[in-house]
Amino acid sequence: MAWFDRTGKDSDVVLSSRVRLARNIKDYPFAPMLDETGANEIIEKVRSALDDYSVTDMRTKSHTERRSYVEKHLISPAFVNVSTPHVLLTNEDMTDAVMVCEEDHLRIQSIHAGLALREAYSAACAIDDRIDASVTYAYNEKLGYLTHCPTNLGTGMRASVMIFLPALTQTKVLHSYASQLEKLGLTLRGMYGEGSQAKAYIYQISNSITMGITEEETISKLESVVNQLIASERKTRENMKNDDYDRMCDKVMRAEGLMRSAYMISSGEFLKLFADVKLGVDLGIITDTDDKKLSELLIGAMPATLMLASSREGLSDAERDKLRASYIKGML
Amino acid sequence: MLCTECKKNNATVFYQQSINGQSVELALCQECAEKHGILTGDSLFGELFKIPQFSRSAQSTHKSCTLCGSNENNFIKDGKVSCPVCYEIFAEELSAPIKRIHGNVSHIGRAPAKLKKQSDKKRELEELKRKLNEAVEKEEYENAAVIRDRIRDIEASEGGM
Repeated sequence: MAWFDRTGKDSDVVLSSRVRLARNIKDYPFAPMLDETGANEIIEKVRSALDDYSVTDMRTKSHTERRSYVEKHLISPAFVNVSTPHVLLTNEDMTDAVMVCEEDHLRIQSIHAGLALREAYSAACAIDDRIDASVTYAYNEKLGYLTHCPTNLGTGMRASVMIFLPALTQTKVLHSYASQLEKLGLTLRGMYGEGSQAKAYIYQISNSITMGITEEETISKLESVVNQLIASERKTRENMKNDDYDRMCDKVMRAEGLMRSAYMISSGEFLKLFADVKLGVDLGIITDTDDKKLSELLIGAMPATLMLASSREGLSDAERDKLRASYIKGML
Repeated sequence: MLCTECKKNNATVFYQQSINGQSVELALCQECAEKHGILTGDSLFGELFKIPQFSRSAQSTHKSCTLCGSNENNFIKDGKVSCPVCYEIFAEELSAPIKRIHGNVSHIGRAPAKLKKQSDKKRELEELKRKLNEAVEKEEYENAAVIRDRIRDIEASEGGM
């Protein structure tokens, strides 16, 4: 079962936790400057270090297939458009994924459902150790792991949590948290990371500092901030529910009704409905579906994944919206 | 999400515009954003990494990277460095911008296993040498001999590395 078909701890607020490590191999230019031979040599080194992982040659995949990996949070949007050889290595349940030859030679990722930063960190370190045993990393005692972009120097680590904050967003409490987060060296952004907007009240919180702080300290800091956000979000949801229970029930049930009976649903509309339905499930208003099903839906209803699952790539927007509506109906 | 303008590339720039009091959201690719004048082509970090001409002294010799061949004019593009060796060759040029991003700090945390072993050894040797001096000063010669042997062992194993 893939990571996104599961739920984890605190799944009413936290969708997933991820740790990503940027690593480069000594004596090779960074990935965008590599020629074909260099890229292939690096791919071979990583493949032999992680010989039990499955290898996906991204160049053999269609655009839709590559987009679907982004929707499943297995690769970055930038990895879709790389022109030199680049591969993705994954373990069986896709909790571990290694992008080879993105902008850094290696982007080691471990992603888990719910709040599971420590699990993600130790899994990422285990992969890091295996590769470290067979290659020599580009590393400098003062600057740490050397990376293509100097903003990643130091630990090369981004730890992030995908978090669902409908109540804190609607009450605008989140605004006041945002500046505090910045002071703590954390950033809040939309669900697909850099440059993307927050849809369905889903955000990504990650560390912005990678130097002068250890990985463990970063994880602890992020974890404690997320725990505070979880508590605050839950309390605000309860307040909203108590303030106007009837209106909230109406909104949530209308969303569920649309999901169950609409003939066409665009991905934008789906995300709006998703947010209301999830809130309804988490507050116990909707009882005939659960967070596990919703987290499956959140990936399954995305354009590329949706088309691939029905082997119908290249559908028009209208056809896709029809397909989405029938997929959602089937799931609920 | 596809760019709302060309409908070909992926949208990476999100921009809110107010036209006649109506707010319109644009989701554009890099290219279309540049056409609209929203982006100038350089990344934000690019600006941070512009190296002022005056920072290069007149007598500075021409440097080029031994791995990728970049020189001081092109080892960094859009705020990104060409190769790991450039970080050493152009350490002087990079030190100010790196400080601007990260502050005046050095890396702490994980390190490659081989290097970690080496730096642990270095630290142990320094500590042992300090103890040796202490023992000699206190005229604890037996203890000093034990410490000296330990130092020899470590240095011998280092030679074989």
